[in-house]
Amino acid sequence: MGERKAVFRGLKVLDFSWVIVGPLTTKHLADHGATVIRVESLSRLDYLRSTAPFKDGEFGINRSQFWATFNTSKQSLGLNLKQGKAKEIIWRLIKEWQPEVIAESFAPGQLARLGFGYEEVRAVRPDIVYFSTTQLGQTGPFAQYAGFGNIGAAIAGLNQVVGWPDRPPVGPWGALPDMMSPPLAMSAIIAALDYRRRTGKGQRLDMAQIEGALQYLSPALLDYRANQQVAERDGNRDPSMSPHAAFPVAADDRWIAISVRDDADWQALCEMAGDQPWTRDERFKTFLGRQRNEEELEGAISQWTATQDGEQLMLALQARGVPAAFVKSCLELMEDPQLQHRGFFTETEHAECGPMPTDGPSFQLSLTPWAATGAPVLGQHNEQILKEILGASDEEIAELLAEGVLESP
Amino acid sequence: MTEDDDLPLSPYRVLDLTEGGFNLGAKILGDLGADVIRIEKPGGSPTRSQGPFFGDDVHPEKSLFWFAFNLNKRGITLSLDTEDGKDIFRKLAATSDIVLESLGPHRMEEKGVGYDALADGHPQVIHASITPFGHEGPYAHFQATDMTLWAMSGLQYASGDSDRPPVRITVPTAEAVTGAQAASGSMHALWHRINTGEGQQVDVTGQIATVTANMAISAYATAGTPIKREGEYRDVGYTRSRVLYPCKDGYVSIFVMQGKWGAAFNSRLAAWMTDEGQAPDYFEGLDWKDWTPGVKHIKGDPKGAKEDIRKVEEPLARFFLTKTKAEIFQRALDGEMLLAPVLTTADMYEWEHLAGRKFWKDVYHDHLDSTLRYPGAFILMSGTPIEFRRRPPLIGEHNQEILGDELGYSSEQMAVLRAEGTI
Repeated sequence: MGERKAVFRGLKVLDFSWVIVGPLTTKHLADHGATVIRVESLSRLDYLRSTAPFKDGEFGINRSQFWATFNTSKQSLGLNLKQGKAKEIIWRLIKEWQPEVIAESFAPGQLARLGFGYEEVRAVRPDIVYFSTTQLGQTGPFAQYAGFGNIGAAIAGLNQVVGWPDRPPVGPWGALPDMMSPPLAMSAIIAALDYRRRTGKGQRLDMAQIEGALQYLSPALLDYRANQQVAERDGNRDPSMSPHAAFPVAADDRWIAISVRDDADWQALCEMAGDQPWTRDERFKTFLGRQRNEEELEGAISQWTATQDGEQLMLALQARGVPAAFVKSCLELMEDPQLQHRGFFTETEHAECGPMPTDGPSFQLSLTPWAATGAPVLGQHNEQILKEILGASDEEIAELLAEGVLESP
Repeated sequence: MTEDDDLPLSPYRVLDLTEGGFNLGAKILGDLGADVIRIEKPGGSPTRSQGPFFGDDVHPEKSLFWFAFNLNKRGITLSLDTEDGKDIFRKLAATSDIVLESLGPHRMEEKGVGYDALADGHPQVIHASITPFGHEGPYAHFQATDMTLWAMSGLQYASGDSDRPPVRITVPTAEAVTGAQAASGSMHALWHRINTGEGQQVDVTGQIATVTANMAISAYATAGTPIKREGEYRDVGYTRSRVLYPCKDGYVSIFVMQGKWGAAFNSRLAAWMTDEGQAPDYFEGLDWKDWTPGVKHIKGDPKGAKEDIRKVEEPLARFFLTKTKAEIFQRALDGEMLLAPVLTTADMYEWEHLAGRKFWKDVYHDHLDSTLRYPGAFILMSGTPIEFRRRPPLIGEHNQEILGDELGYSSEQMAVLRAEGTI
């Protein structure tokens, strides 16, 4: 085995971002070989570090499993940025270490007030790729609005379209826009790096996470613009497939999602179910007939599925070519045969917590596979960064620690 | 408009053989400046039959679904089922940097145009394949739709009212989410190619893309944290709190944090309610730093924790009913509060913030003699702004330009290719 081939080997990233979108983006760079220095602070602790679940159920700022899986392969530099000497350290990193990328997700203007805004950095490093991301972007009347991705799902229109038509919206679980933005950001950052390589020019990237999320809803947005049709929630129904629902199976509160795309799927479903009143019913033989009587049809199929084992029914329907999925919980996904086959769920070694659960790569590269190492404890790399990159002595480091410039818990 | 040569990906060519929402992948690369050629089967892509349609008119040149994800691409028709078609495709691939496709497990290989065939003589090529579950493995042959992908990602299980079945996101997004990962994966491979000359394969699956979109699954799963559907509530193991409320003209979303994290926000919200005479007695003299139902729960008093939360949620529910979405949003901005209205697709187009950022982009469709207002750039790039340089292509619109002018097929040859069903 030769040395591991990593996509971003040699790339340097100075990362001021926090919570989800920024860190998840720079994590991709780090997992693929970039050196990412995460600048953190105890006095302005990353909210995600205090977010459950915690390793062994024990609270601690280095114990969040959530934080750990979103910050693999990075180095942590604990700095109190309010101190002048901390600012000096940052400037020296920018000038001497020469990162190609700076990432940040402060409220617009905040990093500039600390002295590291795009204009300030560009003055000494015109080739910098400076990536900023917030809910609503750097400009516009609501730019200073602060929010998390759960709320972003409301602003981006996702909450409105999850739930039942006769009830209030319930929204998707989690912070979907936070997960929708990083792959877009990654594509733009790499493209900007290649542009920089060709032209020597850096630039500012301003990612509003809402605008990222809206990309995925483009057809529904155009439908409003062209047809005045407002997107609404409709349970599990689909305008061009019927039936299209989650049906109960033989266990308490368990479900199977079945999409009947066409008559072939319908015939396969009927064959599988055998002699049932609904498989004989003439009204259900056509798409239009099924759609016209959808509620009755769903009820009839539910009576049959409720006697079936969910996993077995999924396998049997899939064997007949019908899109069916046993609706799985996150706990059950750990046992999902396909995800296991791909080795998706893994662990990385954490300095304080030992093995930490880690989601695998979002895609697999045949020649340059992903390889994550454990997320850092806060300030874990203070000494290494100060010594190896800035050539500081033990005495200087001790002094910076005593003065509260360097931070580690 | 920016000159094509000045864009980040202008030196690169992308062949797009994906369908459906996966089309977002190559659109992202096109937005960044790549020369994207969308390859459809003769007669037109099945994606063109996906609604909604312009003017609700079901027509292959009026699919808004097609429009949305095929801006910044040129389009040709080409069959991979005729020998001439395969030959032309290999020639075209030899001029390309990235081939994106979603034909299905091993389908490109079966047609004789798999990675090995494309890389033969052109080792720099990047082949990104999108499949629902992968090329190999126990589910590789599984069929999938938007709903079944979310069902197998953990998201559907956790979304919906507890007394009804779990629900999908009514607007399909799973394929687009997967397409975006394909773009990102291709860009990773391109960066390696740029630095080493080596091409490779990128393996993207719908299941992993949607699991990834479901955030830190392994963290929740190994902790045994039950993520269950609870309607407008979210339960993270030790507290269950309400995140959605009706307001005067719609719905509002809120994120109530506890203890020191939520203190500033909670006291500002409480002050607003006090100003309006709608704060309950419970708020009076309450130090929000000490309002920590989660801690109470962990310390063995789940009942007390629930009660603390109820005393906040009930007055909030009454309060929001007196406020409009616009009032709530403006107040959230002015007072730095973690709340926002639930916007609809109609609200979005009216919203002053997106207008202020010049987010929306008008694109003229000559074939419809109409201008459509599209969601704009996914990111603002100061040096190389994303523009919509091309409206989505018509069926076979660039056959002559690409096959005739660039690859040099004569009009007589093109006529034969058309007659035999190759283009």
